[in-house]
Amino acid sequence: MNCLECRRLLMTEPLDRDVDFRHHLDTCEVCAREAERAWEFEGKLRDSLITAPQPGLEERILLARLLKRQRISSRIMHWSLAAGLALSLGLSGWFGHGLMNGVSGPSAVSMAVMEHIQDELDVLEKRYPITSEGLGQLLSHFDARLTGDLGRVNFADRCNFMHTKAVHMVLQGEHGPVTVLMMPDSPLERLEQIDRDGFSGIVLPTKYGSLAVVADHPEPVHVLAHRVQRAVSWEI
Amino acid sequence: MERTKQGFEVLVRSHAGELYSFAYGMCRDNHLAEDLVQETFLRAWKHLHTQRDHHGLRAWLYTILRNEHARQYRKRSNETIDLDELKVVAPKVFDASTEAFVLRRALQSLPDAYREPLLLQVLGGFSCTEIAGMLDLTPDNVMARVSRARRKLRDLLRTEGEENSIREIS
Repeated sequence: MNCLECRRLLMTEPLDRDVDFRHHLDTCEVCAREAERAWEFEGKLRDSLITAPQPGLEERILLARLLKRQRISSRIMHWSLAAGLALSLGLSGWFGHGLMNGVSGPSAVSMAVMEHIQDELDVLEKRYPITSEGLGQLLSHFDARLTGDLGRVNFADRCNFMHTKAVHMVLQGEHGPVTVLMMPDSPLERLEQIDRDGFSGIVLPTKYGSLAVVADHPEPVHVLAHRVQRAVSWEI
Repeated sequence: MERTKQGFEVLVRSHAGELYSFAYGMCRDNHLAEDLVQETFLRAWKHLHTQRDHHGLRAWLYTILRNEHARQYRKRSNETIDLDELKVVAPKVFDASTEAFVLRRALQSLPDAYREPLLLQVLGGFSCTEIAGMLDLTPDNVMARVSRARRKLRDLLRTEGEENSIREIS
């Protein structure tokens, strides 16, 4: 095991008991120091997450089984009534608001974008800088070409997307990796915001189909979308 | 596995605490966390006979809890929260240090996709491969998630530390 592999393991499974890992730590002072820091962090993290329930939880569970699946809650009952009332008011307000503003849910393209990002989260960690030649070659499969600067590209590949092919790239943003999906066969009616599971970004209609720019941290996604639009030309 | 009263009691007493910590980490509401743990064990009792042996029992309990949390989340996402209810959601016992508070807050700011596998690893002690099986992901994907989660937590802690230093100086 080399230092890079060791550091990677400290971020993914710091308490691993792998023999090679332990041996490396015994022989590399720098990694051993890093491991000490990682283990200290793990200890603090674990301590901060351990939370004790209200006393008597186990007894309540055992009693609930005896009472045949009636959960024994320590909650005050009138909250149920209040919650019911709040739910009625909330739903009527939500429906009223939705109808008045013509709000609709995210499109199938937006939902597929998030699913694809979640399915391939590991590519956010890729760090092979993709050359202009490599990108050009990839884009040529889509009758597109690189005509400007995209900045640093950490990952680029052809992906299956909604039964078609799409360009999946990870650009280096100002604060971290940013996912860019160019979907030539997935048209979209209007620009949509994505804000789900800690990810935010935009999916916008383009001449060739649609484009998504999404990050799991604050990034100027509109600026990046503009950069991608200018840097890639489509023969359509 | 045979369903016996004694066996069930051992199961509850062995795992209720750790499952509660995991549930609380997922939902940050002590009442909901308790409901999730109760429901997990009640469902486990119902299907205990489907488990062949003790191996994998913990992972099975965590999976039931995760599914129940997802079900509750879907149910509650349409509800309006009573603000009075929020006053009493803090758990009774936890590490009360400032650092732990900052860590817990930082963890809550993580995307669900990162928080869940990290909680499974840190609290459940599962390996990336085991978590991949539980979440129906590839091990590479899980590694990326926990790695990014840790990096983000460290960054958030560093930022918080720097802000505190500035406050102290001024």
